[in-house]
Amino acid sequence: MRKGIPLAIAFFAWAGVASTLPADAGQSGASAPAPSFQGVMPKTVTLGSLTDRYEPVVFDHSGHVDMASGCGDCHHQHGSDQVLGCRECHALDPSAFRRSVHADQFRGCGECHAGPSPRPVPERTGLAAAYHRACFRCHREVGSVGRDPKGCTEMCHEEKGAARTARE
Amino acid sequence: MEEKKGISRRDCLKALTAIGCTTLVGSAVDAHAYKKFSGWPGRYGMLADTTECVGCRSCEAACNSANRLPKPDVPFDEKSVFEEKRRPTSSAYTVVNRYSLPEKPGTPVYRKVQCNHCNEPACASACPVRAYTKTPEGAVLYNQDLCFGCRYCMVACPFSAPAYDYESALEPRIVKCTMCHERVKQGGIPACAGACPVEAIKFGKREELVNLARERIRRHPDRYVDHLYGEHEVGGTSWLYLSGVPFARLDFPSDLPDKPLVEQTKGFLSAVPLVLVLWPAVLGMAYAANRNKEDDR
Amino acid sequence: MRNESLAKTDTFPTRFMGKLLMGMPLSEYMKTLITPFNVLAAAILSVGIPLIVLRFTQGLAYVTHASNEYPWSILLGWGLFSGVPLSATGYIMATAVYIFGFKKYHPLVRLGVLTGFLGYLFAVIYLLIDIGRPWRIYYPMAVSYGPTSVLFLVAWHVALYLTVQLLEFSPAILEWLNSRRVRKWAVMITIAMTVAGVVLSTLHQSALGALFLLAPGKVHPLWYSGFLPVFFFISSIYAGFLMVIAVSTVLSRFMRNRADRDFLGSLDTLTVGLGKGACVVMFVYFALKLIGVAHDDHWNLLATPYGYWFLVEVFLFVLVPGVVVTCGVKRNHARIVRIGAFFALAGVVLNRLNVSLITFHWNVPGHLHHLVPPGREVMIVLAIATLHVILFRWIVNRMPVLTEHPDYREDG
Repeated sequence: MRKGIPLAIAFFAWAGVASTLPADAGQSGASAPAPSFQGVMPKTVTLGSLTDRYEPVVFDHSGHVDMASGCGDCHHQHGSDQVLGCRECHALDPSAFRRSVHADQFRGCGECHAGPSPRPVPERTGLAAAYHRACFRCHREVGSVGRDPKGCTEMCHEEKGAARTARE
Repeated sequence: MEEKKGISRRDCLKALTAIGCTTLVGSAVDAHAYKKFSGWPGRYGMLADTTECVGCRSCEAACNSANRLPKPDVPFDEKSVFEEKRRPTSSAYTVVNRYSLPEKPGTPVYRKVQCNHCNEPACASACPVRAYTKTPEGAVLYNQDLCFGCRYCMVACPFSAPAYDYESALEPRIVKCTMCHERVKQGGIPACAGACPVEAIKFGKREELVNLARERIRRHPDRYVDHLYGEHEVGGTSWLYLSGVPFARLDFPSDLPDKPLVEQTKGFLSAVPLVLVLWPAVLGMAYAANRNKEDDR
Repeated sequence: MRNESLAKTDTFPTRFMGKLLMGMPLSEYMKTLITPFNVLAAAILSVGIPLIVLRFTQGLAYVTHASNEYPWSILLGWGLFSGVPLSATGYIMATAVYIFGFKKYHPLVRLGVLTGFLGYLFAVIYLLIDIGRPWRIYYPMAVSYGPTSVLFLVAWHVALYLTVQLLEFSPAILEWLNSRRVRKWAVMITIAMTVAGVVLSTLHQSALGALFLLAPGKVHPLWYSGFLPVFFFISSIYAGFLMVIAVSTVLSRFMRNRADRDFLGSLDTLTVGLGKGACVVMFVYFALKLIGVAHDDHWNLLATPYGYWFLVEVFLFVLVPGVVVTCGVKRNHARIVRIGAFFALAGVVLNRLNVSLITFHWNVPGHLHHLVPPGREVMIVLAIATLHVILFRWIVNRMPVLTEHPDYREDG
């Protein structure tokens, strides 16, 4: 059972949209793109608000930025899962469209994926599910997630001290 | 041949007429005695999206811990259990099974098995001592204080959900999922739904879940088979399933009628009072006819 | 048998022992007990009875392989589902003689009622061993009613019918005990008991079939039908006739000394007569089974392995015995009728086992492997069957079943 409401999210200081395309040819960023917005992208993020079984997860943010094809892969404020209108973050002037985003406008997962149960928007999952679904979008093909229950501890989670020694 | 003591012809005919008339009255009354009850309103359900499940078995572990079931020999993070198809047992209310898809090697599909908490449970209609109750919350509960162990419910369940504790000499009983009824009544959610890291299991009002599921199918037609399993099967179940492959491939019983199984025996049971009345009438007439023949001899 | 000359020693204990030991002194009685059958029975019971005890101390898992997919096994498949149609003798014979007036079958009525009574009694005993908490067997009768359940109906009817059968047989017991007045009362209620017996029998014979209506996908489609209750009822009718033939044959062979001239002299004629009744019902039943296949349009299933098995059951064990019995009737040859009878009874048992065990959950992997019962369960079934035979024999040895008690001959 979800143990209580997640703690304040606070860790997220967002910066940058990983560069996707320059105006002409498509080219996914093979190297870390220059941030085109104000603010700073975190290198790692510690997700520790829901720790009961595992230690907090240290998330390699910058590494994932390299692998992702766009910020929207995880920060799904775009597309069919869109929860905000465009102008909430972007200036509508085409030339300034991308640059107008400020790092702070990247919302942390917990800002929307939390809240009382039953949920005001039934389709919206809780925080743990939001994390996992975002990660599993790729990680289900990488590593043992989806193939082995041990996949949980293989790539992301570290069991808390007691559980780990009990297992050993 | 001496006259046997017994009914006189006149008395016999009087009785038969009375019985005959009663039959006619009886059948007219019964025609409208059947009221339609479409289920407890506001009852809960659970939506299981098999396309989301990653087979981590957290639900099994949570169920085991929440219901204080015996710890299994093989721990819950072992994947070797997937090599065989399992079913709920007397120490496991639920299990997850793995299905490999030849068209998508490396990405198996998982399916959780447990009591489906039918709207009109066959087990409840089968039980001769009414040991099963369909609660307003939706859970179908078993009462081990009434059960005498006939196991007819196990015969009746189309999903073969109930398990029986054959090992116990003094307290053998049915074992099955309770939809965490106590927790739900206190405002919580079932352990499996709470433990699922991707919320592949969603708990909520059944009506809302049906709408949600239909919406999902509508929005992602390439992801889901256009069928919500449990919506209508055997009259509808509290557990609803979405799948990306035909349900028969995931060992879902696929030849189930839409009408609740209790309807299958209603015809026979309604014939009972007819027999109780007609047979004595017919036999009485035969006896009277035979006596008549004897008297004439 | 009144012995006025022993009036001085005619105390209750003496009379009681006299009844039990059939008038023999104990040492002589013990000597008569050493027969080949008794030795075999003792061997079976020496294994079976301890196993029954172990079932209660160790749990059902110790003696049966009943599982979550296969909750019912041969204990019920034989004891209840096969035992009940074979016990239809009571209502068949009583109806034939008392209601429809076939007076010439009177010598067989008591035999029929006794077979039926013991059959149901032992069905209850098999149940007591099989159900999880046998001490609660009275719950459907007195504690909590589940009237939507066909099994509730079966429970009530078996309980009521046992009572009816006991009352129908009570004149024989009362003659043995020389209770003239009570016996008179028991005879007066015969007609009422007979009618009640038919009503109850119709309902629970068919109810045993109706049980499986609740499991449409689980019994093989060739055996599953909306007509299952009708099939079970109709086959119980001819099973009743033929079981009387079978039991009377066995008794006339092994317990000749307990039968009177009336019985032995008329037996062959009566056998043929019963065969006449039975073969008509058997052909009707055969036709009904075919109608069952036609109704659901399952003809194509006949070409599958289970289809062949169905054809074996219906042709080899219903039609062929029906023809054999008809042959015997036409030639007035009791022996042929008897052969057909045993065959057809095996067919009834086969049908019940097919529906309740052999084709139940036929589509679950590993099904055929599951059909073989464990040795312990087989021993328990054998032990109870042995007890059944022993009790039957005990009663026939002492009570006027195959004879008419000389003091009550005039009362009928």
